[in-house]
Amino acid sequence: MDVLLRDDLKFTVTDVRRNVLLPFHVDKAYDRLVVLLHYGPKAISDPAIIMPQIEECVRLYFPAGYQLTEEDMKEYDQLFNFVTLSVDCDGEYVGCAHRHPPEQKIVISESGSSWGFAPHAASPGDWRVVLHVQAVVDGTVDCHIAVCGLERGETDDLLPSI
Amino acid sequence: MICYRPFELHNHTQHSDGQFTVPGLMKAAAAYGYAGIALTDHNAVTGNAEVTPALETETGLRVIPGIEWTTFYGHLLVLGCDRFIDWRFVTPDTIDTALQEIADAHGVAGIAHPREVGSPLMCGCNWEFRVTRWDLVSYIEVWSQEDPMSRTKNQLVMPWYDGLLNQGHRLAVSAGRDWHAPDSKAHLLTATYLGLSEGEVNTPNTLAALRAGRTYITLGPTVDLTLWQEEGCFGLGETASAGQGEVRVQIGLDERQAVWEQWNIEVKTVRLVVNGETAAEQPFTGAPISFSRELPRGWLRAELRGSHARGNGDGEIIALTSPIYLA
Repeated sequence: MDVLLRDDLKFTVTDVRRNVLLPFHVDKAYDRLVVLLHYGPKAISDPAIIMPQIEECVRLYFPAGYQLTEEDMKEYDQLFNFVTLSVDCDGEYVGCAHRHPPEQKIVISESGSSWGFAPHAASPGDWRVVLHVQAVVDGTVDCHIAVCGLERGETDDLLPSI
Repeated sequence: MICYRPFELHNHTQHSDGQFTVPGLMKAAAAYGYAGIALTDHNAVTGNAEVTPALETETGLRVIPGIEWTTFYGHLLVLGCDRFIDWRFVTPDTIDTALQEIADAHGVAGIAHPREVGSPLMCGCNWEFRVTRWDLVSYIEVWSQEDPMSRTKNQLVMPWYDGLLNQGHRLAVSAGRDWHAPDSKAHLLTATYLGLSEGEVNTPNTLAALRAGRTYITLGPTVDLTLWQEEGCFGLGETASAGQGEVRVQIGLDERQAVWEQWNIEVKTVRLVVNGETAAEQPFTGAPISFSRELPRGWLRAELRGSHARGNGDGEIIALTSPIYLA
């Protein structure tokens, strides 16, 4: 098992709508690549933080004079930090994990990949992870990512914890 | 001959953030009487590989390959491309180039839930792209999710959509459920009917219908809108001449009735809308309806108005068509 990419990043509100490019090179064929992503915190529920943002959304996206209802507030009792990732290899799109859980484990291999990713050989080439910073509600989001190459017969026990 | 068939054009599976498997989605859609669905996972096309002829035969449903470009600046439904177009780095100022790439790949583009709440409540869901090449956008999802008119975003989108039509852009309507998970209770559903050559449900016919503007959306009843002039008969998406014409509307109450009858949907009136304004309205008695009048340049559509179990009163919108254009 080789660690091909490892990075720890911090995102703030200034990073929202930013694509973070994380290129890495693979110089030999593996059985599979495993992409590990973890970020947090996920949910922000402090009313002092989220209410001004919710009120700004109401101002921007609701009809003029709209008053938040109790039903709205049940729906908007939390806001979420949100980071997604996509992968390409030698300029060819492999796939995307557009999912909300803040821990993702993506497997890429010729015999089959995780949901949203095409089957693709874990082959030598110029690979890239793109992190899509969708939402940072407040403060700092700590984001950890690793890409590992595993040989046939190697188990996921070898993967590092991030 | 053009025949209209019901579709659900906005669906998600486990290939993005949905809960459906691809076969599970197909079976659920077939149970609601749809003839076809579009597979539009967020930024992923991998679900299309799971659609097999055997599954399509088993369900009686055709699947249109697609993707929902889920960007920071809005969501775009992209159907039928013959190659992958990278969605990741499109910005409000480069959207026209991206739309041209979609067209060059023989795909069709439609804007999803354009007046959805934006970030941070709903990340990237509000349409902020600065489109100038509206000729490269085929349709607008004016109804998003089930029970559409209970949702603020759908109330907000109609004036915007009509404004685009009044600027001379040609845009069809769609309804998209944005369906993510199996139902645990009954919902007031929608359907987008597409006018297909010989009624044959396949990808080329579906894309052709969206490009041509042969669509209408409904909570249940079917609609047949035609404009008769000396030059002939014109259907949805076609261009007739300004001047005297007879607009005919026929309403059907039988198709997919088992899906929608539980909502007590009743069509009370048929409204003729011309250039965004109500030009005429007649009660619906079950017989075909006709409006004979002088028509200005612009566009017209039909709206069915009435009542249903989730609405208030007799003025709820039951169905609306894409325009017939008047040059």
